[in-house]
Amino acid sequence: MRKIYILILILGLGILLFINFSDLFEDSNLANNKYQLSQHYIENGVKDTGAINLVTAILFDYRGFDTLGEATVIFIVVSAISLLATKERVFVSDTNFSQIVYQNISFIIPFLYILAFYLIAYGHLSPGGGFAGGVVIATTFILLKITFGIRYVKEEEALGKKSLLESLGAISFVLTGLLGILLGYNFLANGQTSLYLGIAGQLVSAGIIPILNLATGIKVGSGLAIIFHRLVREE
Amino acid sequence: MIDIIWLIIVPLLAGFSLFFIDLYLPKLKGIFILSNGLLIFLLSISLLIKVIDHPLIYNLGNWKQGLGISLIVDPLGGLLAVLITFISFIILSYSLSYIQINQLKYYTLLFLLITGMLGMVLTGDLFNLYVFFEITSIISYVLVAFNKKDIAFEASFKYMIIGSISGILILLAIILIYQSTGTLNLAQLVITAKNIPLKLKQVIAVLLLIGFGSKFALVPLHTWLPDAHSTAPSSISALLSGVVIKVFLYALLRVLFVIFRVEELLALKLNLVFLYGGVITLLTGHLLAYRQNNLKRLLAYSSIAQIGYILIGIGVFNAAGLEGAIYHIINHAVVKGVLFMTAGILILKAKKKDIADLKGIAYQLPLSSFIFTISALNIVGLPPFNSFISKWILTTAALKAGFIIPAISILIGSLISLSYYLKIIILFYTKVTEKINIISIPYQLQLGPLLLSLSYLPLAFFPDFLLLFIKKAPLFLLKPINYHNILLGGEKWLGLFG
Repeated sequence: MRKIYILILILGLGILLFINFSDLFEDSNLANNKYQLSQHYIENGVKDTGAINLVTAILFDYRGFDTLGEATVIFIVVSAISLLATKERVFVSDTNFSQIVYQNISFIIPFLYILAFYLIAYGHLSPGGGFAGGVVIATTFILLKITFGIRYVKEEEALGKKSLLESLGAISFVLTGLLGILLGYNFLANGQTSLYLGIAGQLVSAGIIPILNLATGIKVGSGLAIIFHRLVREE
Repeated sequence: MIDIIWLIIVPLLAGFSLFFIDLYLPKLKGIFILSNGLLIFLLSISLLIKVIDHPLIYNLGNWKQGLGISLIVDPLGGLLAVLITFISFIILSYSLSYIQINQLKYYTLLFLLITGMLGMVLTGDLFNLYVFFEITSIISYVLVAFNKKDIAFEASFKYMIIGSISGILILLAIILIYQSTGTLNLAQLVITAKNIPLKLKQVIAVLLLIGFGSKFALVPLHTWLPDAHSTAPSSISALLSGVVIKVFLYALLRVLFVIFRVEELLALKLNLVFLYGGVITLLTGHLLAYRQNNLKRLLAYSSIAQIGYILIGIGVFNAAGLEGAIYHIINHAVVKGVLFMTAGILILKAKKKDIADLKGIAYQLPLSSFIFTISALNIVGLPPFNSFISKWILTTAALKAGFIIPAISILIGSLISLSYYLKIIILFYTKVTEKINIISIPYQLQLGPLLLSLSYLPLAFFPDFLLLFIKKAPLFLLKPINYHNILLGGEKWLGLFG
């Protein structure tokens, strides 16, 4: 009975949303003013910000403040999990993988690092950026932990270092934003300032966007690594 | 010239850099926390003085209007910013002697919570509002579970489920608004929202009302609040009850008045939803508070009831009602903050949470009990206290607009609350012949509530001074075109009857 009730509820909400959204897509008499903002981004994005990747341009320049908020959310979640996840002593795993696994993982880790920093550094030129790169950095830590087990005593030191890195990434994001104020503009100013944006398409271009990407990457990478470590349990 | 943005940067940087302070300068931690709290408070005061005559606008990244994100502050935003920073500063000083474990994480999260609330109040961008909404919500869930007891985890989980659903509903409303107008800037939305068809506006209004309503405990969406506010540490309860729910209420007000004109709201009968929703909220809150045995739970239900008063003031939809509502927001924030902080001290001393176990506590903690008594009588609305003034404004506004039932229910609610608060006070001052607890309460712990309760005097005896500021606020809510004109940097604002 309860399941039927829930199904009816979901169906009702779905129908309601479908009606409302379908009206919006058919309605084209407002088109000229509805798509003004996105048109502006598509036409002038590269010229305004110097970043070829339009998603990055919107994420780190037009709406950089939102990205700071999102980065703060990740910071909060890391703090929350460190606070609430109970720390039990975990023992070194005695399960052994085959030699193939150890060799392969040891071999692939450096390449993963290169991939991660490529994603971060080329965030304004190709798909990727701080968040994606940060996730790849976190993957390396996770791979190491799964294959070689958790050595608890050393991990505590490493966690302190990761927290340090995470705070550093967050602070450097804000400080990069303050650079705009120092130059006499507003917070997180980039495209509208006299900063050298460079030639669009080259590695050193787009003003402060690469720096913000790097800060975000470090922050997200260390943050997700901490989250994984806090939640992992070994039998 | 200090910009608006510093109000958000300072607490954010404080939260991020606490780790370093804790690592390298552990002795300076207390000073660092307090000085940051004070700095934010002073910044917000200076902002309010500027904003009261000329609402300000700040474009992040120097983008022109609508391209990037803007911060727009009108008198109401300035007032709430001062309220947030004032209560936060008191609570920071109270926490320094109240919180003993996990201090680093606690203050980090607390500073980021202040950031989130200030961001919600100061922002002029719809999606940015949602980002800060999520920051505020997530930290609230975490801090509720700060004590790591089973009951706290349960309350936090309940809060998280309801809060997440409400967040999704609000996001849906924002998506619908953006889909149909193509703008996210709140001031520009005043103009472009006229293009939204009325049917869609109704859906948006419902989504917003349920989404934000479950955040500020509109009955029947209030079920998480008593659990969350009573199991959190007392300092956090004071902040949650005092300020956090008010910020969500502000967000609903701001978005509703930007998207709808007052005539549309009246045509949709939304004023009746606010009025009678307020009445139901008020009576439910008071009646449930009457039956509580746990002191903090009783205070939490009382908070729900006070939200009902504020909703009645909003539902009148004229300047007088809104003034009363804003005045009551300020009064309730201050008084409920004091009540929760003193309740925390009393519970700490008695080591028990039930009202019956606190019998005769007044002879062991005379100062805290006295402050609690004064605040309890204040929140009931007895003259000459400040809550009486705001309730008087609310009642007269409702009567003038011809709503008899809400006006009468304000009176009935006050009577019910008088009965249950008197019950507590009489119990506190009953003589008992029991052995006295040897737990000593540090005097620093009593400083916070004392300071905050001293603010009753100006609020009660010079209401005209505060009303000067409050009277400027409804202009930008009821006449949204004024809010739009902030963009033009205009000096002349349309009157309420012009």
